[in-house]
Amino acid sequence: MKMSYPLKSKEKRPKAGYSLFIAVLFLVFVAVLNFTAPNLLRPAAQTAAKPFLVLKNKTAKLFQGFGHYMASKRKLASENIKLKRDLERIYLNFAELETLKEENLALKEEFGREKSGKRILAYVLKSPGHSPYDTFILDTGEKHGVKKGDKVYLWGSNAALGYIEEVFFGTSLARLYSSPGEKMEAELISANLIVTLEGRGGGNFEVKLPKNVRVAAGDLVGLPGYGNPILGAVGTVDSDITQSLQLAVIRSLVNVQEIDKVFISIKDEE
Amino acid sequence: MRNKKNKIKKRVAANLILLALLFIAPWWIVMSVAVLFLFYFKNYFEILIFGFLLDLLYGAPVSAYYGMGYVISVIAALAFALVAVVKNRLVFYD
Repeated sequence: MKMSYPLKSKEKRPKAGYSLFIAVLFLVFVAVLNFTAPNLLRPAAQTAAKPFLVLKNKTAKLFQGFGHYMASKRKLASENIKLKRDLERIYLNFAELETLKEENLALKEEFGREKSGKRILAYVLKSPGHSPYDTFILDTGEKHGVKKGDKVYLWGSNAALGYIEEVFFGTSLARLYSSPGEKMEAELISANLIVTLEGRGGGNFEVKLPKNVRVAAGDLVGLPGYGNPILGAVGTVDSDITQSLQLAVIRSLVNVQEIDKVFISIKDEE
Repeated sequence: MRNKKNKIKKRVAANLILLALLFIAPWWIVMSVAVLFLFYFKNYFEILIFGFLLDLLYGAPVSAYYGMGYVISVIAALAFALVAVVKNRLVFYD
């Protein structure tokens, strides 16, 4: 007996060629945009995204302490005692630091090296770990006086983080010094040596040094010149007997993904 | 007709999920979820839009990527083309 089957009323599937054509067309568009006007659409995207990023940060802050409800009482009590002790120690150090800071400022003023330019506080709307470019979005922009190239530091410290890459009306895009492949001059403070660091992303750098340079884990690396803002500390040193150079990995002293506040050092108009 | 409406609803929901992830998650999570949607939906060209949006928000020319500031868009386009070829060769999608 001959069997007959009803034809399936399946949808017609488009050929892969159609998708390949769209992908190629898109790549051509992106390439043209990248090489002719890379920032053409960025200001509009930043303006549109700002309210959402601000809302996300505010919501995240609301839920920040939620995990504490789950922690045990004993653990919290012991942590509290430890934190109190740490705080006492920090207060003592802080008092000493304040005196030294005042003394330092007075000396600098005496030698005509007082700081020029102003510093403004900026909140991080999106942290560096969220993109492969090692960039982060700040809530201050052109209307606050931020300019391209202004340096970005960690709030309340002397840690240099990066510089302003692009400025938009109400926001700005900052780039970490450790952006992959970026090369920069820095000073190995313990050896008083200017070295060329290469960014590896996420607050890490690497530097190749001659073997006769004494470098150890924990040695500080800063921006060359006045004040030596700190970039990070040497993490590991890889010294191979067969090689003439040693490779040092420098890590930022702060977790760049957890930065929420920075200050921008605004250059004076020349 | 009802089936088609359902599909549109699912697609809109997927796009809203990706839009939320765009602001709260790292780029690789957004792209991974978009690739999953690429397998689930037919011709999910929205992956190109989300890749492009990520680049518009965070992109900057990086010397390690030959000065390209639209790396995620390129990744999205490659994923879009690759998944289309793979889907075309799998019996599962017949």
